[in-house]
Amino acid sequence: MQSNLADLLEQLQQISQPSQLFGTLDGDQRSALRRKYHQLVAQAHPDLHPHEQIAAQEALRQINEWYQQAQAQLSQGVYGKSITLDLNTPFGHFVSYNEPWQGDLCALYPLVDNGQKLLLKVVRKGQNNDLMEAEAAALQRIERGLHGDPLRGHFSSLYESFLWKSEQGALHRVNLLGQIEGCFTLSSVIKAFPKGLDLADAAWIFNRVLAALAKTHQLGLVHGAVLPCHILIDPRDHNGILIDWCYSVPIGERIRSISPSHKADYPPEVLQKLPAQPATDLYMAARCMLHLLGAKHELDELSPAVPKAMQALLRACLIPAPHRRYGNAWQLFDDFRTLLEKLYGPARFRPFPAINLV
Amino acid sequence: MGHSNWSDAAFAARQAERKARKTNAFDYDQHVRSTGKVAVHPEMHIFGKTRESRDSDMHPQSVAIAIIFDVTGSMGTVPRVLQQKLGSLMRVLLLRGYVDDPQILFGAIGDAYCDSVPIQIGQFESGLEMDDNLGKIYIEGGGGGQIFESYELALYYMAYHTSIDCYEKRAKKGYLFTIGDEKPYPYINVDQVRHHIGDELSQALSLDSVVSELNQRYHHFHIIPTNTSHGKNSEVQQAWRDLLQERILLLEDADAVCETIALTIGLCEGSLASLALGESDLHKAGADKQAIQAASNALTRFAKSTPKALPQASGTLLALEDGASHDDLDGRL
Repeated sequence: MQSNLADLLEQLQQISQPSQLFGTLDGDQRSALRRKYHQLVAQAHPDLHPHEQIAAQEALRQINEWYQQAQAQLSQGVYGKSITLDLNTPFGHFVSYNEPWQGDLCALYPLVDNGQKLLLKVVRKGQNNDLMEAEAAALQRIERGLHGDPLRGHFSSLYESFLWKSEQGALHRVNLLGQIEGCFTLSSVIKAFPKGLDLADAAWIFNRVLAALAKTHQLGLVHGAVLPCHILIDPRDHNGILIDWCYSVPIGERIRSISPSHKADYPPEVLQKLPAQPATDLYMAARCMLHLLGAKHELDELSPAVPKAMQALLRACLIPAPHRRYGNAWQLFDDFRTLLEKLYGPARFRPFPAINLV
Repeated sequence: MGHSNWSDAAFAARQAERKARKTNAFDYDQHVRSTGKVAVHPEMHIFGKTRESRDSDMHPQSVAIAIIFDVTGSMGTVPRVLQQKLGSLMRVLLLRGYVDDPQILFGAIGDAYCDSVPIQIGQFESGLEMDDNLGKIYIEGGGGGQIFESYELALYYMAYHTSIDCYEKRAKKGYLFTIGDEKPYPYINVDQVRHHIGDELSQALSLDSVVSELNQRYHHFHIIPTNTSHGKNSEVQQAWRDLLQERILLLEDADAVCETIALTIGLCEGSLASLALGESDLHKAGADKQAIQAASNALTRFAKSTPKALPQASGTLLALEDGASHDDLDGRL
């Protein structure tokens, strides 16, 4: 505890974080904060410093400011964490205390701005700015084309796009996205069910992906990287969301970049730099389904428990020549629905198996 | 390459010295014509070579700018105009600050199916050497009877045999301006690539694939001077438009070629909010009125299509590089 007012004022001048004033908060953090606050107020109170009224008032004012910031940080769960992001943009001042998630090309900083949860996606290498531009263009196209559409919920949202200049002078493209809460990636589901998920439980996931792809293709786009890590599912309401549009291209253009660790999940036309088509996405969606049903690499690894009709449907999506493969997501959606009805009768909501997903 | 500092004064002195000696910039061209020995100047020879634009202490923010023009019969006057106007291009770029440290490369193309010297490409230079390079171009004035020239060979070379720090270090694209009044051939010929550049290709490459590779690292524009033999040919214009969309510039007056290049770079860099501002910049830098008007006309269509420059943010991002599990460019196809 500071013995006199001068020490306290000096400390106040040096700090940049409320935790530097209030220290570690044990137990019930709010009560602990309140106790430390009262101690500091008592120490600085003008009644105790009759000859230093102005200094005492100033100390109190600053303590109150830091107290408010500490309370705000506690409610955001970031008290005591150090800042990872501090950006002045034309759209506001953004601060984040969270470690970024690292994707293939980008770091993604979760942050809260005016109560809204956002994800600030920054490309690590400026050479990949074009891919971020592709994402921004695709998400703008989706917003324009699907505004008010019930299926809009299968896609991420872009708020802003801008450039950040690094100390070395390189420009990095930034896309400011909406944070999607309560969801898990399909990769984590696949990890949680190494022997495969029952088709009856996996069916809705495929349906959501196909509906999202059908809309994507109607807008003239190919997603270009339909991989387990780019599909988010919400087990509560069975929504599915297609994320990461960096690899997307207009139908008929070639895909410029792949996710190297998933090379085996790309159809031949992508690796041969040939034009991407709706069939390209359907091939990759079928590969996701294959993994979800328990096959690590190829169709013949599927357990005999996976119905033959389903295996045949997947095979038809995985034909190497794109023009022989399924090329229409709605057609595949219909055929899959018919197959499910034959196997399980009319569709009904099945709660997702209770399991810890991360 | 690209280490000496451009000086406006040096260029003026050089011009004056030439006037005194009564020689023109195209020394090598005259040399070829007087000796009858038709060959590429050794320094413009690209076989087995890479052209590099590098940052240096003097030029820490280099920007590669390549200008490659058609020297076939229909285009004969353009290189001479370029050489005369060069002083003002450099001055406008530097004084107006469109780019920090421009490094300029000059090259010439003809028709690889019938010319003796169909491709000549110099180094990226930041000073007086580029005038030298222009002087090393032999203006063959050849070309076939059709309306194709070997632009694609130059595009292939720029796409696969240049190394530019602006992109490699700072992810900032360089510029390529091709100038000519004919169409590129739709495929890159395997034999021509072997003969002129020294690469062994297993099959002919499509022009589209080369352009898409090139676009990764360069803003590519094609300028068609319309007062040439085929400049008004709609087939030629359409071929370039299919390839480059709005990045084709129709230039009524070949004299204005440098002004057009300066304005285009200004617009791309976002340092010019509008074409009108660029016009006044050029005027202040001493460009003549007619040339400014011609440049501005050529750019009207492109200026309309350029999206507004993205806003910029400042600040710190910690842990940006943490957890990158591989080179981020590994996935590039």
